Amino acid sequence: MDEQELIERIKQGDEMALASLMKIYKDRVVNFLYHSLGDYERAVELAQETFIRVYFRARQYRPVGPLSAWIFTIASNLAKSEAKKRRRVNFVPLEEVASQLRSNGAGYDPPAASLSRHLEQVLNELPAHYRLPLLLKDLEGFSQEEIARMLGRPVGTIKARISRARHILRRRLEGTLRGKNDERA
Amino acid sequence: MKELNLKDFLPSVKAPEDFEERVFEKIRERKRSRKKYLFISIRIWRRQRILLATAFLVFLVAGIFLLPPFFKKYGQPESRYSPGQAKLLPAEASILSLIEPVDFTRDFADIPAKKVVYILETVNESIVSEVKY
Repeated sequence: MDEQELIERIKQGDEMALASLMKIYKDRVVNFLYHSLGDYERAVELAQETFIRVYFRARQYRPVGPLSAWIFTIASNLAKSEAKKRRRVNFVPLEEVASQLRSNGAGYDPPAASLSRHLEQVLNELPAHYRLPLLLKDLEGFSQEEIARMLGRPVGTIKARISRARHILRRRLEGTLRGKNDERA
Repeated sequence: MKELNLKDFLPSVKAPEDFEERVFEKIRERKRSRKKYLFISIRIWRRQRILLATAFLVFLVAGIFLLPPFFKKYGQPESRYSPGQAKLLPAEASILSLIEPVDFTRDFADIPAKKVVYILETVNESIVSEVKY
């Protein structure tokens, strides 16, 4: 059964169709939200909310773009709202605390694991308007035009934000890794 | 220089085993609460429609009788003149506030030096009043 057929059945309230759709997308949505927020529990909750909205708002879906783009638009909006809430509350995810504890306590990290952990940390520090387009491009493989439609911004803005996000990431990663090497030497 | 691609470095996480079950649980919960609200609102409407209609009428009548006096009292701009002054003003008069500089040097020319001069302004309600020294 193709995705358009699935969404048509979801519009009629078919829960089995929603289950099939979740099987296809749940891991991708959880993964995207996890890297957007840096908090696994919250990512799972928001991924569930994404599919609940898909179910209740299926009638609003117009088949002008791929279904995945619509699902990730919902997920991105939820991630944006969560980022705004966190800015107000100054929230620190448990993963970050655990990662800091690990990096303080452990002696030597394998380079790949260390890079990936630093990358996650630096990514969490990026503002949401840089992080979301970058994740949608690199993790989910959407085109810049699709991301622009999903986030409701002009294509030029999205291109600039992705490029700026990469630049910031690279600069911060180099800085962190250089600092780490200096400490070891 | 090779472009940094996050997919190569970031670990991927998966949804928990009971993901779908929890989604359906939440959907059922929301359906129940939606039905409940709908049911309550229909029941309120059916049983209390006479009461609701009466309350609406009371508000309407109260609005009709209370709002015009309220606007009469608070709707007009506050006058800068006291009732006594207002009586002296011609009806439909347009009032311009004027600031004019006053030069007292000639008035005080024949007063001997080192004397305190008190300028007393009247504070009564008539508009035209002289300044007394």
